[in-house]
Amino acid sequence: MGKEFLPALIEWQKQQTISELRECNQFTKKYGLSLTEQQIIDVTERRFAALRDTGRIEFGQGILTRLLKAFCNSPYIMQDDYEETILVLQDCFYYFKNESEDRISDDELMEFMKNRFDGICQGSLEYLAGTSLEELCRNTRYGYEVDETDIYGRGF
Amino acid sequence: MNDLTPIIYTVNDKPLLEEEQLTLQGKLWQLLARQTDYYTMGCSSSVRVEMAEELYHSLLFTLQEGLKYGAFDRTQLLAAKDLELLLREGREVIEKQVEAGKRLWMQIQQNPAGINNISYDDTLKGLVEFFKRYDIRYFAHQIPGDIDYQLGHHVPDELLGIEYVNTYLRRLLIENSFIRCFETDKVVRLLQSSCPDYCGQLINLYEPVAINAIGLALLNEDIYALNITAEMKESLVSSLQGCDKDCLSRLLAQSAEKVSSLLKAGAPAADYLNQTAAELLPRIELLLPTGHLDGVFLTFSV
Repeated sequence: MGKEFLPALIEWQKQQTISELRECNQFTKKYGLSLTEQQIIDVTERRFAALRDTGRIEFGQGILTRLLKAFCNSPYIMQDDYEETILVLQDCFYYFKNESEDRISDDELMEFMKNRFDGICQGSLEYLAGTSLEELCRNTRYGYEVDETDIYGRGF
Repeated sequence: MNDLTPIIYTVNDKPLLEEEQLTLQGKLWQLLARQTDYYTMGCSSSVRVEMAEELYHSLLFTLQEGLKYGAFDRTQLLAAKDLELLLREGREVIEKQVEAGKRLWMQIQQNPAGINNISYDDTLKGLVEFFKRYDIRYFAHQIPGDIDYQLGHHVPDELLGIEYVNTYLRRLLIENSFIRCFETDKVVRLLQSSCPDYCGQLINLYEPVAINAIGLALLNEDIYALNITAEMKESLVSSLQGCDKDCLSRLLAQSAEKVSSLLKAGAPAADYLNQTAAELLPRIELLLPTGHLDGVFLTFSV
């Protein structure tokens, strides 16, 4: 039974995710963002691919719907690049969760990502993944504070 | 991704039906999800697969201990809608085992082998670490703490967590009690013959003593002498050479019983010695045709 155990669970989780994403569409529509049925399936598949690639396992609702709800009001996400942005943000989330050695909670990481994405990164996923998150994880590992202010001490 | 394979294939030695396995799997998964949530304190919806595996094995171990020691039965396990309650009962069983383990450790402190050996001393310290760091809630199957000292009869690797440690302690107690039946000076001389650096090497202190005692019983000599001289070995070879495997096995078992009876050993200690005698059989069988038993029985070198 062992061999079918995990795939069976993942299949069940996929169905759960798909129905959660459909519900989430109702929430994000007011920001002009929604995923098509095919995009929902693709995003769901990518969730499990990202988990597999990062060697992680997720229980319950997962972060996907929370990620959608957190980022849907961003001025830098448009309907055209909505799916692609969500896919990259999801990958980044699991990758940096590992990189931070699980020392950052889901909420903290998501809040940091959102603040940086809307702030200094100005919607650039490359900047977010390549500098901000790298810095956050490095500082988390070595115990430095993350300085989120500019030279005038103002927050972004 | 690693496979989180349930290890409860059988419950109380009865294989589970496929339907029962599926039901149990679902409940175990729910339990793991909750356990992971407790572990991350609700701060993370995902964990590394290795961590999930550890948490999962701990759950299985706890439930298995509950089943094994009768905290609940197979029917209750399969009928339970939620395994949380059974998990708590399993934990109570493990807590009792931990208390029993601590008592065993105290008994060992009160009945030491009386022989200096670094790995023995380090292991006793390692066991203190075990009791300090043992995590019943999340990692009940793990053995935190170094256990280096080699027993005469190894604890099976299938045993996990506190069960491994308690079995180890029980065996160590038997070995110590056995060694203490003999004069320390003679034990030291015997160990020196077997390993000159008996204090510093990773060796078992019990085995040479037990084997020579069995050898002396085979010869109808004084087992407390612990020394099997070259003449005695020759005599042993000539008396055993005509024996077939069954005869040898019987003679060894009789000698072990004789030693146990002389030392007034209890049933567990007698069984332990019988096991030592049984393990001697292939070694003696192999060496008898050569006409020498030097590698089995020891002669005092000093």
